[in-house]
Amino acid sequence: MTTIHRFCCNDLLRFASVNLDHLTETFNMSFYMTYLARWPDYFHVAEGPGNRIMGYIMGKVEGQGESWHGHVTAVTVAPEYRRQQLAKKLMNLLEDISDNIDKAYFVDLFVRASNAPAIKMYDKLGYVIYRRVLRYYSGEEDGLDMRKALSRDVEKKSIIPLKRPVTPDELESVDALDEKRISSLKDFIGLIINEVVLLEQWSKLLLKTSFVSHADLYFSLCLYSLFTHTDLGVPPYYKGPNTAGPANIAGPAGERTQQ
Amino acid sequence: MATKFGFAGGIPERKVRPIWDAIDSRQFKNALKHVTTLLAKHPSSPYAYALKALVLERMGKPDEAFTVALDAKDLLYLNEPLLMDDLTLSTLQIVFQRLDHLDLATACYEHACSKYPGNLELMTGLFNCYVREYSFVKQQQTAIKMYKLAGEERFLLWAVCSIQLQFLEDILLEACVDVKDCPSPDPRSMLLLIAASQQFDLVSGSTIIRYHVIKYTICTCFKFSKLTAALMIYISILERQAKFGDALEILSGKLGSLLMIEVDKLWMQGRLLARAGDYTAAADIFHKILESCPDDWKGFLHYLGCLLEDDSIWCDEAVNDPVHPPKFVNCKVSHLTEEQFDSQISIASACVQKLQADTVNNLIRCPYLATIEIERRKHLRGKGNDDNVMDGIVQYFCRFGHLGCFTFDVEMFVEVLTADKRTELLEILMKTYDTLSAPPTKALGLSISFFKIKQLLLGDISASCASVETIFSRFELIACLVGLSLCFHILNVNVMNTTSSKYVSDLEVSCVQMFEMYCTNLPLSKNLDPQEGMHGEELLSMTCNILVQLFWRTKNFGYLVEAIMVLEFGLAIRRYVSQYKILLLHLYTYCGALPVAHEWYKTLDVKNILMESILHHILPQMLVSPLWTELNNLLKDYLKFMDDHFRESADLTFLAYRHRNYLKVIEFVEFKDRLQHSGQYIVARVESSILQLKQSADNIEEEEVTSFETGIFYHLSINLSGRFNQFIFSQDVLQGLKCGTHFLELSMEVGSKSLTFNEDLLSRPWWTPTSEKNYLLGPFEGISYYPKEILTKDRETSLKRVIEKKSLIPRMIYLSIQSASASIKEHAELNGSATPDVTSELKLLLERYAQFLGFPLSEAIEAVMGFSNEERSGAELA
Repeated sequence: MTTIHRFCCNDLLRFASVNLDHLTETFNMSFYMTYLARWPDYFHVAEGPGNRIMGYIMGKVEGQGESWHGHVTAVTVAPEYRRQQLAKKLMNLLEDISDNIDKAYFVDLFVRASNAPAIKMYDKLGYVIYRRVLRYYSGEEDGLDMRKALSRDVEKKSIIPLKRPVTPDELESVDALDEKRISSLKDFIGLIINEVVLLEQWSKLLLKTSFVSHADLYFSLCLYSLFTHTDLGVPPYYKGPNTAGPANIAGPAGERTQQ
Repeated sequence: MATKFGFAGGIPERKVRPIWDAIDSRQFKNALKHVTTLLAKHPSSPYAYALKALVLERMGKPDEAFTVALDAKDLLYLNEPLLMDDLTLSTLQIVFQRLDHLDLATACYEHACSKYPGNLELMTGLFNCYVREYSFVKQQQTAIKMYKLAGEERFLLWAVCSIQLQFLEDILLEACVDVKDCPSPDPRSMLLLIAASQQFDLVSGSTIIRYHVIKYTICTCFKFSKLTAALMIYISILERQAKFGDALEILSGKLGSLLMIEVDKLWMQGRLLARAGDYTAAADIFHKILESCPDDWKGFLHYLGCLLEDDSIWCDEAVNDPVHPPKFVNCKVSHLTEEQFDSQISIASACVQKLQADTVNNLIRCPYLATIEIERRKHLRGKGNDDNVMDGIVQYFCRFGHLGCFTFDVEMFVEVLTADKRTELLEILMKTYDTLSAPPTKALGLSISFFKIKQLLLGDISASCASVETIFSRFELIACLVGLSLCFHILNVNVMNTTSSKYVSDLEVSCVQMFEMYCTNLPLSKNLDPQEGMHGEELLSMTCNILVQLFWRTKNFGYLVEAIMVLEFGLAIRRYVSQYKILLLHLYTYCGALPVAHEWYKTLDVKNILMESILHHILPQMLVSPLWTELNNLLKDYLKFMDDHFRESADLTFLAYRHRNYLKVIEFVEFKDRLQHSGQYIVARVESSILQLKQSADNIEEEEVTSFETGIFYHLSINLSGRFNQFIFSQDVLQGLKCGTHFLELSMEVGSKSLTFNEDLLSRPWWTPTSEKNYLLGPFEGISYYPKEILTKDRETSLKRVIEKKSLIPRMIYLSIQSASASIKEHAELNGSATPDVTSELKLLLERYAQFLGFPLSEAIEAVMGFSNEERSGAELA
């Protein structure tokens, strides 16, 4: 018995019954509000009779080229509404939006390697373990990056599991090449050659970075820099997403989701 | 950022990069070294000064930072135009913002924009400054200028948002000062008209449609979705103006296709049609929603409301507090004729039956609960049949009794039954329960639901026999955990007084049964992760609540001890159950063991926004406790969270602007406002300052040593009841409180402010439904299950009085010190009296304070003197 609607700020004052759960993280305000400001379609709450909050899902859509994907940041259900497939309903909603509205290639999420019940649930929902991220949770516990391919990824390339685990640094090295940096590179490339073609190539390069080592990525950037005569300075992935710019707003850095 | 600018502030980017890197890595000393070198080379660069100010501020040197920032500002005003770039300004803005001088940052941008009226980047910075200042009019003006300059629709939408915010501010102001008559013509209507017409031009004009078509063709859905936000804000404006027809026209037209999620569009249409009074069409829309989502309870309530032409649900949405919505819809007695009513009810029943027939998923509850809701509506119309309501509940129990939410679902329907019928329902449920068979976990769920509904049904019935109870009973629960096996013994269940009512014995038996059930079913959870919730967890909370009820009836303290033992036992089995911890902290508080209660509170790991909704469990008792250090930590963390949010909220609002989520812009501003008016927040601010004074006064020895050394302390001597007490207050504390003037202003203003209450009352135990109400302190009156009392207005009035009263204290202390020190000084010199201004202000405040206590000042003095001369007891005074 669920009415699902977009999460709004007032729901933050009503979700205590859900968030008092030991495994549900209560993030800082800028984290929630950044999600609400940027990806309101990915933040939904389920209500039951008597206007009680049953659970919620928060997520986002991000990435470039074939790594354009929906991401589940948190999904949680209040104790009294568990074992009713509510999480499944919320996950399906996020997948539908990623698939049909944002035309993403896949949906991914991170889960504690020890959280067997959650992994089992995601497995049932069609998620596969794409890669293991070493010491992802507070530098102690490994995380599993699980993915589910969407209709746009016809060949299901996005979910071919990686053979070796990655470290959080390697993970962030890719994430750090955020939209803003890519767009500035894109602008520069656009002067030389058709921007779409090169941007796609660049995106593929980024995609491949998950297969190559840290040093390979730096090497490729140096080559790129040499080729374009651009002073890239410190490789972007050596800096966090919030470096240097005074106008930066605290983004969802330090995200360690609890699934 | 620096790379973007190349030569920011006339300085090559490579020279400033090490400074930013050092700041990012929190190596401030290093950063200062770099910035000093930079300043030597660029002594007239405002950017270099701004960087230095930033570093100093981060190093915790606000005064120096402020001086340097002012130098940067002066240079900015004097310097050549080339140096006036956004990087310099935004760096300076950060410093001024962190130093709470937003006005200076705005002034810099205003100056820059006046010099370069055509610079869009600077204007964006200026707009952002106005967002931070919540200057909605200036936001609007700037956005319009930007629109004229760049011709981008988004700036026009920024202006529309700013206008809507002015409208909302206007409403808030009205609510606060209770303006009787709006000036004519109504400025709010004017504002909305402007907003709507501006947006109408935008939407109906060809620009947006062309934009839409272009975007649609190239399938850039990401940008596409931003137009949806524009459409939604437009519809919200029309809805506010009650132009439902216009809004519906937009929705059904081409622009309606912007709403990609069909069910969202249907909800909007249904609501607009209903509000326009076209209930038949609205019912059709909600019927569609139910067909696509048969489990949508709210969808069903709207459907039924439309069929019965009852607009309560929409009125309630507008009137009710969104944080504490009611448990069920208040229904109006339908104005329909008997025939019409019957016909509409049969349509609803047919729809529900079809939904039930079509339901293949055995987890869909809505169509089954809908049957009971229909019976409830008939009941409210006077055509109800109790047997049907009972039958609906029994059927629902058979189907969904194993779910943890069963009792929440049906509690609203039980309220329509009389006491006799409730007893009858319980008997039927008991028979049904005996006949049901299910696998172990489901059977456990059914048993729990049965216990819960039994409590719900019997709660008030037993009230009448409470007065004759003279119970003295006791049982002990000893449970021990040995290895992995649990041994549980119930010993010595003695009913000492044979005159005890059957009901009390029943309650005791229930307690024992529930506890036994919990222990017996522990193996069901053996494969679960220790951090996961386990099967039957609720049983211990229920046992605890019944034991508390027994205590309430009998005043036998032993029951409370048993309740504590049960919960402690539960937490030994599973240490993460927040429900147990909350109950336990209330029990320990009631028993006077506040330090233990506080320890349990800490284990809840309440942080961030949860502090606003959960702090009420511990704060009121801590405020009157001697646990000052712990209280100080609680208040400090809470106030830091709130103040941080107020500081960053505007930046997040601007983020919503940038991402074109305009409804979120408005939501964020409203939310910040809600938190700023939080009763708990205002109380915490006042109490925090009083606590500082108390701590300062308490620290006599240390302060005295310091006072002799520095001579910066005031001494206040008060001769009370023949004893000589010395209070010493640090000048720093009082100066930090601006000699109490700030709180004096608060005391004057709070009466006209509208307070908000954001506590999560659902998590409070029923016997203490609000922080002001504890049933256990009074005689037994009978319970309803979770009798939450949302008496917001009463709470608001009493809380305002408390704030008004307490806000006077810092100023009164300051004046007392002034008065006393002046008196001593003058006594020494002239044998005269204290400064007349101080004395008269103090007298005035004392009069006000005495009024709050319910005395004229003269009587209050008399009472205090009587007390001090030990003529009256404290209790008498109270």
